[in-house]
Amino acid sequence: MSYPSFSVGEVLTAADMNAVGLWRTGGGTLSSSATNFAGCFSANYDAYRLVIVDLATNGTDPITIQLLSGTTPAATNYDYQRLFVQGATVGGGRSTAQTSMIIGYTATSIVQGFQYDIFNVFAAKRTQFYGGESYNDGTNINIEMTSGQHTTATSYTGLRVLCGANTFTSGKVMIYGYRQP
Amino acid sequence: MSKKLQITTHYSDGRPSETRDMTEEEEAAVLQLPKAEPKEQTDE
Repeated sequence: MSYPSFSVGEVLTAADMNAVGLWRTGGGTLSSSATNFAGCFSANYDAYRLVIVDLATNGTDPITIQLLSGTTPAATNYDYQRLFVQGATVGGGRSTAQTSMIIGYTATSIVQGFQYDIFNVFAAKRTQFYGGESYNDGTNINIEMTSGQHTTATSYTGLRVLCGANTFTSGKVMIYGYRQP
Repeated sequence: MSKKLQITTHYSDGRPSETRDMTEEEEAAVLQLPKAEPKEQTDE
């Protein structure tokens, strides 16, 4: 097996392809006030990685996510614990039974990067989230981290990213499934 | 006339992406999203 370095024209065997750890299952560009990524979760994977690059909006509301059945969002039962460092200020917050899960904050024209892992989202079990966000608010480099859970034991097939009543002005979303052991 | 919020959908099965106006119910739900700012929680 030649993995992980392939030669030009080489036949990719099943063993080579089965050794690939992350498969892209969805993605696209953020736009509007909410963007759905429908059909990105399936029985093929138990864990997923959500990556968002260059996210920016024209407002200051939190960036949140909801799980989707088709294109219908689950809008209840998001619990989360947050840790953040803004300049010299270290803080935290806890919320339960929310309509969506905060994954980060935004401010006008500030570009940010996010990474979150999502566990058991397609299984009819509670879904866990863990990850964070990095951004510069013009004065400080900030850290935002969230550990969350959607407490409804239901299977979901997609993800919605929201920015309140504002509009996404940029943002590339990539969703990957972790290959099963 | 107020501008309607919009929602975009990308499909993993190859269907073309689409953008539409939110329904009144969807707009109301968006406006109920969590609002707490971290600095408001920690400012003294």
